Amino acid sequence: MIGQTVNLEAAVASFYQPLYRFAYSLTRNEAEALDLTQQTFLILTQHADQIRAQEKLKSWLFTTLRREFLRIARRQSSYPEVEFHAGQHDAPSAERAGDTAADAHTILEALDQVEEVYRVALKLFYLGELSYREIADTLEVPVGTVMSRLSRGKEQLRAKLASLETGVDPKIITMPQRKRRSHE
Amino acid sequence: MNNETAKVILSAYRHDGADAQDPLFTDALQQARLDPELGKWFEEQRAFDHRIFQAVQRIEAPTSLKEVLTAAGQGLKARPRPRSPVPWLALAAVLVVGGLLLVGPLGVNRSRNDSLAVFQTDALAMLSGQPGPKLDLVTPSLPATQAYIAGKKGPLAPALPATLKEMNTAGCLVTEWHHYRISVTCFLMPDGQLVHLVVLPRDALAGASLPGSFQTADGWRMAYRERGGMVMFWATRAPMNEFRTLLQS
Repeated sequence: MIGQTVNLEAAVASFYQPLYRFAYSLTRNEAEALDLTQQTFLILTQHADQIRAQEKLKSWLFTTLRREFLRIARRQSSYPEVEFHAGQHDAPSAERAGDTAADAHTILEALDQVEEVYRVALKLFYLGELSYREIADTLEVPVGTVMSRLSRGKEQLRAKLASLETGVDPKIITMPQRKRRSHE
Repeated sequence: MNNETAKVILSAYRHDGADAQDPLFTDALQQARLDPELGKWFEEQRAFDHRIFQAVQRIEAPTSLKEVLTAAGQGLKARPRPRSPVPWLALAAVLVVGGLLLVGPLGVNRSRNDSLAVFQTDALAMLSGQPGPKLDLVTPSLPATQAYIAGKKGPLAPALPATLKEMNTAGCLVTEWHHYRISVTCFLMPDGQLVHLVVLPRDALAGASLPGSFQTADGWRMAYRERGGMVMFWATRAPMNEFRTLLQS
């Protein structure tokens, strides 16, 4: 136990895979996803006392991971680094394991094409396996907003997937959105 | 509630029924049972969700990640609460070491008797890092990699197969393994696959006898060569016949 309510071992066992998947969907880079996942658990050990109830742990972990991702993204946009890119090197494991894994790759591509405002809710839902309440906690938005984002996001995802699989550009009519910041 | 509202609510319902007891869904679920059109939409939605969930489950963290994180937790539990430095430094140390084993440079102290097995495991772990090992220098030029390795006092390959001399590289790195300097050069095959060459002094594998034949493990094709006091370890995920042809050229 590292805090009053947090058992790190149990937290790792329960959440390392969905956290890694979510991280991978954000970074599309295995090494960076590993770093983000580890960093998230490291922060957990530093701030475990902030978690007042065990049922909030999952949302807290995803919130932390996303904040770390945004922090790193901001820093990298200020200090760009030369990285070794997948295009030049081995493809990530998700892209290497045949048709079903290629399907995962297509889905990630389609998710990345969904409007930003819906995208992160969908990623938390599908990759993080979060409930709508946990997504609301993570994004700090009302439950109704999450439902609406999931509903519209899924419509877009369906259309984008069909487009990627058939090569036909979907015509999606969406409600006008207010301008949002550029990171997820 | 009309069907459009029910659809918005049911969009948040997880395909595996994890939300079945949540009262927020009760009315919408009931409506889906009674209204054939909504029911059909809901079934399609769940099938779509199921497909997405199934597909993304195939994105898996390396099993070593769980081991590293769990080891970190055990390390904390085993120690009495230190006054200073703060406990998370212990975890940080474990995570950093674990991280290095997962994706970074090689090396921890282990028995000399299994030095070859340890080297191979460490080398493959490094080469398996995604999207690849962190290269110090990214360049298509073999002479540029050789100049870089020499400049960093890393070991150079005493000999290279003729075909590889003509190939582009992805780049190279110089690091340490068990206090020995080693170099890694990644050759880029025409089809985009990589052939990695790790060079290290023979002394680093003292006492170990090198396999004379081609090896396979975990999707890797491997070979060892020894010349001029250096060991050359070749590894690739390319098919064995291509690998064999390359090294025998």
